[in-house]
Formats: sequence, C-alpha cells, structure tokens
Amino acid sequence: MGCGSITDEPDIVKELREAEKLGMLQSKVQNAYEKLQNRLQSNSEELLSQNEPLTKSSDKISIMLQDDIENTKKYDEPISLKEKYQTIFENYTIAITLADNNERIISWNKYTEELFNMNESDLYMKPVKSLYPPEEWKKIREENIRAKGIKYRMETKMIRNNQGLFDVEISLCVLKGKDGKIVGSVGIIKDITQLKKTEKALKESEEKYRTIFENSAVAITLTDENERIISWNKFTEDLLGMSKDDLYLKPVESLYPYEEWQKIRSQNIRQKGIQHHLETQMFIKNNVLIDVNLSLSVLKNHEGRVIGSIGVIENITENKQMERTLKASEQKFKQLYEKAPSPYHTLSTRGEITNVNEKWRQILGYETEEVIGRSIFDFVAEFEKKSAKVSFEKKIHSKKPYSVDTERTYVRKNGEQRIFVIHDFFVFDKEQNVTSIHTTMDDVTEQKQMEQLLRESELKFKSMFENVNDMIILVDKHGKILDVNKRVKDLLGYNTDEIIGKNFAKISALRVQDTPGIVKLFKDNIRKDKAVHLLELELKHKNGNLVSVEVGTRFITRNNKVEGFVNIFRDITERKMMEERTHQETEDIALINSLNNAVNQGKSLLEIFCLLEDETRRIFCSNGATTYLLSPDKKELVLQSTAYSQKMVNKVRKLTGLKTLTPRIVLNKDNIYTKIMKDRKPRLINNPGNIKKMMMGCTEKRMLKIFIPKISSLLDIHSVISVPLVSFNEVIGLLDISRKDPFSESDVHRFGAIAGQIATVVKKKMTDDMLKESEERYKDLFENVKDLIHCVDMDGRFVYVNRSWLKTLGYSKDEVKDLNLSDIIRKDYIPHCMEVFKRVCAGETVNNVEAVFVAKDGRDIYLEGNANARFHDGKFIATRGIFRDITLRKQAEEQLQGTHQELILAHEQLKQLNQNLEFKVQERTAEVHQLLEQKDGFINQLGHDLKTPLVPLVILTPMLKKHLAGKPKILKIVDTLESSTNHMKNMVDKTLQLAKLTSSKVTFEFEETNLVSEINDAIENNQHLFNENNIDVKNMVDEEIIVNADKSQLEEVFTNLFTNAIKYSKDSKGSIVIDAEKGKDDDEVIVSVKDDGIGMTREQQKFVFDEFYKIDSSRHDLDSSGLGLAICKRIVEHHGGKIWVESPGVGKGSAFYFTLKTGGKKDE
Amino acid sequence: MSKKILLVDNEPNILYTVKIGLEEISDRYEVTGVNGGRECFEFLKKGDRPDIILLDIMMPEIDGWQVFAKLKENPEWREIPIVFLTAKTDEYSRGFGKLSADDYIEKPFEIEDLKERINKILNR
Repeated sequence: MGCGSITDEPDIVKELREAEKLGMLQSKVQNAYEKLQNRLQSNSEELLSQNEPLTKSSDKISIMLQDDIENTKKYDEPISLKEKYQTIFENYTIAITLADNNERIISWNKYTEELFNMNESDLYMKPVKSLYPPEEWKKIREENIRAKGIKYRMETKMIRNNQGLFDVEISLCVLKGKDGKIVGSVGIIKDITQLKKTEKALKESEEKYRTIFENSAVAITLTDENERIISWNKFTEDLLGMSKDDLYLKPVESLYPYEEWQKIRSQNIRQKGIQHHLETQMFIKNNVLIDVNLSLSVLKNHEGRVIGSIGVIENITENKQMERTLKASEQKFKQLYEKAPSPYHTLSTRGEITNVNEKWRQILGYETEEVIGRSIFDFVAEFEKKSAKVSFEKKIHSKKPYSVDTERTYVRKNGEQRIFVIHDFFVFDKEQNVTSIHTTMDDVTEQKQMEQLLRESELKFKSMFENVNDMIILVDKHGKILDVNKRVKDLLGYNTDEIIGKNFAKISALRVQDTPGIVKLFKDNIRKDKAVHLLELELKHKNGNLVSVEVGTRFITRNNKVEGFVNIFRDITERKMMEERTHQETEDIALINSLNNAVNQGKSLLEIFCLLEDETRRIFCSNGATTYLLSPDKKELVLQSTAYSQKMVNKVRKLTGLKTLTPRIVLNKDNIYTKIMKDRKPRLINNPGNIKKMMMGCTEKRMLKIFIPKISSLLDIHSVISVPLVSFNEVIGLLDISRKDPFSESDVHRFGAIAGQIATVVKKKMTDDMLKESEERYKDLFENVKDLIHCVDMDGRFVYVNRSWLKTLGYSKDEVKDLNLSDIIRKDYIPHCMEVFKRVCAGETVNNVEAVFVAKDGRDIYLEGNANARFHDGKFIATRGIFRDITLRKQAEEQLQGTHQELILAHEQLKQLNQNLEFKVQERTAEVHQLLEQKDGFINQLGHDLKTPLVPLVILTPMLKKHLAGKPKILKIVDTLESSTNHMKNMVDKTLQLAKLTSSKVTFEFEETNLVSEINDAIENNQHLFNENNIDVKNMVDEEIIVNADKSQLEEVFTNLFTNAIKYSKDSKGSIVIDAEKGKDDDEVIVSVKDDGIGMTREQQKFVFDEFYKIDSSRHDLDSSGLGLAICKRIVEHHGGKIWVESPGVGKGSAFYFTLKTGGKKDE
Repeated sequence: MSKKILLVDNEPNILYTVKIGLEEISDRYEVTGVNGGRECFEFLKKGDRPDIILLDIMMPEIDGWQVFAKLKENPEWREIPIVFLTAKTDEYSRGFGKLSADDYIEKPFEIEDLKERINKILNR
C-alpha cells in the first residue's frame, strides 16, 4: 500500500501545544480531532485511489470512509465551535479521557462509559494504569510520552469492565500548564477491534496483490483534472517506452487512437466514478499500438468535484495475440476433431463421454445428444465391459500421456458390433492428474472379419483335404507324388511316406493295365478341347484286394505352365455293390410282381408254383426248384410242384420209373426239413454228405433211398438252399433250389427274402380260394335269412339284394338292377341315409341305422340295422347293409306316442286350469283383504266423525235435564235421549277400539304382570256394576302367577268379560268365578271366567267372538255394542294366546277361557 | 275476575255447546268462539288476550297444528296456554299434544271434565 503507515504528526502536536497555551485545550482537542479525521480521510483516499482497481475490499473501506466523511461533514455546519466541540465530545464514538497529573481519570465523554462498560463512579479517579493489561502499560511507559509530549495513534489493548481485552488505537497527549509543568494528559481512545479485523483481512489481500502487482506489467497513471498525466509508476515508463519528460503533463487523450478514446468517453466514467477492465488500444513509442486492459477510477475531492483520475493499464497485447492464436488453433482443432476421418471421443476421468466427432457418430449410429454424459462403457460390447473398465482405470493411473493400442469392441445403435483399435491420449493438469481422455479409434471390424474368415477358410480347406472321402494325390508334372491325404492309407493301406516322392505311374497300387488310361487322362486334361472324363479302374490294396475307384484329374498351372496334377480317387466299391444289389432287387420285384399278376389273373396254385420255380431257377441259375406245402395237420410236407429240365426229369423217370420222386415228406424228428421248418430260416447245404442225407429224408421208401445217390448225381446237385415259406408268422411250406456251383451266403440271404414275399403271395392265393368257397356258403345263408340284406356300390347301385329284401319291397331281381339306393329311401330319410352311406364308404361300421324304405306299392317299410363296407386289398368294393323290418313295431310306437301326446296335452290343460284358479284365488283374497281394510278404515273414520256431533248431546242433555227439573213428563223424554247418547258414545268407543286393534299401528307394552292383582283391579273398577246387578264375584287365581301382558289391555279383556257375564245373567243375579291354571305348554296359563248365566248353544258358541254378534238379537240391550268379545279376541291374540267359550247349553251358564304367556316366576 | 276463554273450532254446534256449557257451569268464564284459524288470528290481532285457548285440531284450511305453531312463533301469544280438543286419539296426536300443548281433551267430553282441565291450567 505504501501509504498505510502513519507516523507522528508534527502539525497536530504543534496545534495541541498552541491550544494548550491559549487555554483552549478542549476546543483544540476537538480541532485536533477534526484534523485527525481529515487525515484519516485523505489517507484512505490515497488507499482508495491506489487499490481500487485491484481489490474489492478496498471498495469496502472506501464505503466505510465515505461514511466517516459524511459524519465529518455534519460537523462542518455553522455552529459555534464550543457547541460543536461539546456535541462531538459527548457524542462522538471515540472515547476521550482526561487524566490528572497522578494519572487518574478526572473527565471523560459519554462514549468512554460505554466503551469501558463503566459508570461515573467506576471511572472517576480511576488510575489510568488499571485500564491496561500490565504488559501493554509497560509498552506505553516505554514510549516515554511525558518527555515527547504526545503519542499519536498507538495500537494497544485495554480492559473493558467484565468483558476482557479489546483492541484500541490510542492517542495520548500530555497537557502542560502555563509553567510548562505537566498537569495531566488527554487520551483519545478508539475501539479498533473491528478495524483490526478488517486490517488483517486487508493485509492478507494486500500481500496477495502485491505479489501480483510486482510480477505483472501493470502501469498506473494519475491524471489531473484536465486529463493530463501527472504521476505514474515505473511500469508505465516501461510499458509506454516513454521517459519522464515524455509523460509529464501529457494529455491522456493522445495515448489513444481517436476511436478508442471515443469509446472510453462513451463509458461515462466521470459519472460512474469507476470503470473496470476496458479493453482498448494505446499508442506506445513510435506510434506502435498495443492492446491494453484499462481500469479507470475518477478521483473526487470531498466536495465531490473531480480532481483527477487514476488509470491502471495492463498490456494485453500478448494475451490478445495468444487469444487469437488460441482461438484459431481451437477452431482448427475443433475442425480437425469433428471432421477427422477416424472416430474420436473425449471422456471425463469417470469415463463419461464429453465429446464425440462426426465419424464416431456416423460409425456408431448415434446423435451427439444421445451420447454426451453417458458412460463410454454403455457402448462397449457386453463381453468386454469388465475388462474395458479395468483397463481404463489402469490407463488413467499410469500417468503416461498415451496408451498403447487396444482392441475394443463397441456396439452400434442397431446392435451391430464393431471392432476398433483405440489409442488414448491423456490431458493432465498441473498436478499430473488426468483431466480428460481423447481417444481415437480405428475401425478394424472388416479387417478382423477378413482375418477370421481367412483363418476359418484355411482351416476348412485343410480339414476338407484331410477329411474328404476321396483320396487325393498331388503329382508334379513329372509324375512324382507331392502330397497325399489320409484317405490313401484308409483305402490302399499304404502310409503316406510310402507313397510321397514315388512316381505315380509306378506305385504298386496301380495295375499295369491301367497306366495308359491314366496317362491319357492327364493328356486329355491338359488339352482343353477334349472333354474331361472320369476313369473307372481298380487299385490294389496293400493286402492285395482290389478297390474300385473312379479317378478325376485336374492340372495345376503356375504362370500358365502345367506344374502338376491333382488326382482325386473316389472309392466306388460300395457303389458297385449297390448297383449289383439294385439289379438283384429289380429281378426279385419282377418275380413277385409276376406271381401277383398270376394270382390276380386267377391262375391256379399249381400254375403259380410252376411260374415260381421257373423264375427262381432263372434268377439263381439253379438246376431245379421244388415247392412243398405243409399239410393241414402239419405233419407232412406235400409236394406241389418241381421244376427240373425235361431232360433230367426223363433221366430220373428212366431210373426210378416214377414221375415224381417224393410226393410227401414226413416231418419226423431226425428229418433236416423238420429243423428248417422249425428254425424258419433258410439253410444252405454245400456239403455232399449233408445233401445226400437231406435227400434221404425226402422219402420213407427204402427203394427210393437206394436211388438217392444216383439221382443226386443225375440231377447234378452239389449245393442246395432250402427256405421255409413263412407268411404272417405261419409256416405254410418249403421251397428249395439246387445247382452244381455252390450258392453263396448272399444267395441264401436273397433267396430268403424272396421266399418271404412268395409265401405272402401263396398264402393270399390260398386264402382267396378259401374265401371264395366260404362266400358261396354265406351267399346261401344270406338268401335264406329273414333280414333284408343288400350290397350297394359306390354309385348307389345295388350289387346284391337277398330274397327277403325283394319280397319285402316287392321288386323283382331285374327291377333291382335299374334301381338306385336313393330311389327306395323315403325322401325325409335321404339326408340321414346318405350321411351314413358316406361314413360307411369311408370304412366305418355304423350300427343301429334307422331308415324308412318305400316299397314298390308305396308302403313305408321301417328298417333298423347295421351297415359296413367291404374292402379288398384296401380298396372299397361295396357297402353291405343288414336290416330288420320294424314297420309293425313302429306303428305300435306311433300309436303309443299319440296317446302320450294327448296325455301331456291334458296334463298341460289341467295345469293351466290350476294356475288360473290359483291366480283367481289370489286375486279374490287380495280383493277381500282390500275390502276388509276399507271396512276397517271406514269404521275408524265413522267413529271419529261421530265423536264431534256427540259433543253437544253429551254436554247439553244433562244441562237440559237440570233445567227441566220438576217436569217429569219431559224429563222422561230427555232421560231417553241421554241414555241413547251414552249408548252411542259407548258404541263409538268400542268401534274405535276394535278398529285400532285391527290396524297394524297398534303397539302393546308387555310387562311382567301379577295376574291376580290385575283381576282384582278390574273387579274393583266394575264393582258398581256387580253391585247394581247382584253379581257375586270370586277371584280364585293363584297369587304367584306372573304373566307377560299389557296391563291396560288385559284389564279391558276382564272388563268386557265381566260386562258380558252381567248382561247375560239370569234373573238379575248371578255369580262369576275367575280362575287360572297351567296350560299344555310350560309357559302357558289358561284363565277362565265362568258365569251361571243364560249360557248358549253350540251354534252360538261358534259366532260369539264375531263382531256385532249378539246371542239374543231381539234383546236390544242399550249397553251392548256387540263388540266386547271381538275386542277380547283381538287383545288375547295380540298376546299370543287363544280365546274360546264353553257352555253346557242354554240356561246352563258359560265359561270363557283364554291363554296367556307366563312372564317367568319371581322366585326362579 | 272472569277468565277469557277463546274457543277455536269450525263446528258451530261445538262453539255454541262449549260456550253455553262453560258459561252455565261457572260465571267466571267469558267464552268467545271463533270459526277456524283465520278468525282466531283476526280476534287475537284486535288486541284481546285470552287467558286460555281451546283449540280444535281437525279444521279445514288451517288446522290446529298450524294455528298452534303460529301462536308459538309470536312472542305476544306464545305464553297463552292451549288445550287441544281432539277427536283422534291415536299415538301421533297424543304424543304431539303431550310434548307441546298444555293439555288436551278427547271428544266427546263432559263439560265438568273440560272445566277441571281449564281450572287446572288457570290456577297454575
């Protein structure tokens, strides 16, 4: 800063001393203070002007100081100095203390108290020393202020009451009397705790900036108010290349090009006060332009007038240059990166993609926004992910600037994998940590694939060469064998080294007679006009066997010259054998076919055997062939036919005198034929002894046996094959052939195979014969059965119908020929029958077919039966139907059905009738219910309506009576009126009561009620009636009976029963007995009210509980409503009980009973 | 001092009978009969304040319950005791009457009965 340190101020001291002399110390203190403030201000301004462009913290200070200036200004107002001082002394936030000569405080301002947290009594006469920590006091002492007279702005620490130490800035001034003797001292104490902190921060920042300041080319210039340079630092000279003379009072304007100066002007810096970092250009010596970074700060005096400006100029020419270069290079790099022919990507150290170039996107098929920020490993093929991650980590930590080529498989967006060789370049920061990774990639997919293909193809060819079934021999143009494959050993038995190097024409495998052929082949091969053909020849195996081969040759040329030949030998032994076998099989099939044809042509079994024997002889080149069939008892073989040349037959006949030798062979134990038949296998006999033995077995006759050797030699028999004829596991006979040359095993095999088929043909022929026979038999049967049988061909024509069929349907045999199946089926049955017909044609057997045929005379014939098809050799021949005539049964059934239908109909009608009835009953019931309800409603309404007109009658009649006292005649009339009124009132009451009991609205309040006391209450209430009518009442009810009842309703029951008993008492007197007993159920009580009144008939008993019923209808009892018992009945029923009456008869009294539910006994 | 009784009913015979009956039985009663709810309020609006109102329930136009409700709404008439005269004694009318009116009497009633009830209320 260079301006922060403040030294002693002689001016102030001087002034203080003067003030002291003038006795104006106090006001001088103020003055001094003001000066101090000004000083502070100017210092800070200095500070401000120098640091402003560099530090923000200086801004802060500037603001702080600005506040101070504001404060100071306040005191510039024109008030008297004394007042001003007083105010300041008292109010300024600086503590001012006066101490006496003994360094005790004698005066202070208000702020002092606040600062030290002390009151007046604390401060007064307090030794100054006690305000300082000892070490600080020591320092102050060391300043020797008494001698110097003043110590200006000393930083120290002081003690605050209860609050410990705090930083202060203290100015001390010794006060001397007029005699020059020290009389005391003034202390100006400022709390700088905050300042200290700020200063510390400032110092730190200053330290920092000084370094920068010293090391960077920053020029600082100071101008006056006319914008002329008046001061500068030495960097300015260096920068501008100007001397002091050049610079001093140089107009700032002249340093800038015109347009730049206009730019600066346009910034309005004078108003803003400050302008940071304005990039512009300046002239240096020789009118060279440089780029600068300019910060301007306007200096104002305390009145706000502009007095100059400070400029901080930084040469940024180089930066600018570099920036331009950088920009260009960056652009270039970007261009290169983006447009590079190979894919690039840039990764963060975490492997996230920060950039990819065009090629990358193109090859991998993604858009930039799809990949930025994603992990590169997302794009690595699954199988390489793990290793890629490991390798990435390793590379990052290796600190090498680039990595060796790595092969990596990435996956394209479409899922295709591509292989790249990647090169990583690492960008490091100063600490040699990797900050990013650039990766270039070479797409080597195709190359890799090619390599792979090549490798595979090479392997394939090698393997082909070694593994082909053909023998390959490479020969040079001189015939020398260069290479052979493994097949050579397999086919010829030679090891490769036994052949390689030898002359091809001279190898022992090649037979001499074949050499010219081979040579010709070679020549033809070279001469392109000749068609190249394959040569068949036989090579000799090392073991001497001949191998059939087919040889093909290709010449190898290099530079259009024949270098050698590739000879490919194919082993065709197998093929040859196959050819032979095919030939044999063709012959065999021809034999079987001719046999089959013979069978189909209906030739006899014997003819077939002759054919068989002739053919066999031809195929096997045998002298003769013989056929035997097994006798039905399976004990003998019966000779069927034998075929030898007529010459030989004649010879034998001549010898033996017999046409045939052995008509039958007995299959006894020792016989070789027996064994053959048992084994069911063909047997080859080449041994002459065995042949003789076999021939011996052919006959039982001794004579013949003697001839056997001779016959044998006559027939020239040296080899025999004997084959059993087996068809479907059944041995049916035997066939043998014999000749001079020995048969081979393969002959046996072949003959065996043929024999199997022959057996089948023979068997079929035999079966057919049998079938024909049986068919004849069955036909006879068919004709005579009662069932209808017909056979129909595919087109529906009748192939066969039996006699019964004709008879039933009434057609003649000739007529049937012109008929079709569909002609005789009744129309409505045709679809069904045709469907059955189709199924049968397909091979199905359909049982229980029902059909109706129409007879010639139009009668319906009901039929039931089965249908199936006849097949022969899997071929459809005809359908066969066997039917039974069920017409009679059907008719009976139909009749039954008719009856049944009628029954059902009747039943339905009955049901309908019932339903109607039921419905009507319901309807009526509902109607009745409704009527009943209407009746109840009517009664209710009527009752209520009657009530109002009764009022005048009830009230006025007694009044009338009163007024008529003494007029007996009229009184009598009024009495009648009154009585009638009462009766009507009673009627209305009862009617309404009954109506209410009928309605659903009524509710009962059931409670446990003591029966006897309830009865007593009722008796008491009616006592006047009993008295009036001379009725004796007895309550016999057990006191302990508790019933579940509505008390008031129960009383109503008793009252009604009592009134009833009184009404119907005899001779105006009587007795009533009330009793109760247990009912049938445990919770039931039967209450009885018995009187000795007029009683009633059985008929009357039925109606007594009906409404408005009166026993004696003639008795127009005024008090009787005829509703009392009906009300009782309703009430009892509401209690869940029953009411009834018993009477022995008229004049014999009545007993009314009703039941109640018990309410549980108290003692239980 | 005679007691003013206001009788509200739509039946002239009742109006006549009750008036005659009550005045005959005691000279303390001064009975005024009005035909229906409308006349009842006309009477009351004239400023005469009865000591008791005998109110029939079943009336055309404005029935007893409506008259009752109106009387209870008005602060001037709210305190006048009311005895219902009713022909219907079902639970509804009985229950409602018990809850809200001072008393009720069932038609047909005897004049002594009515007197008893009136006096019971007036002597309260």
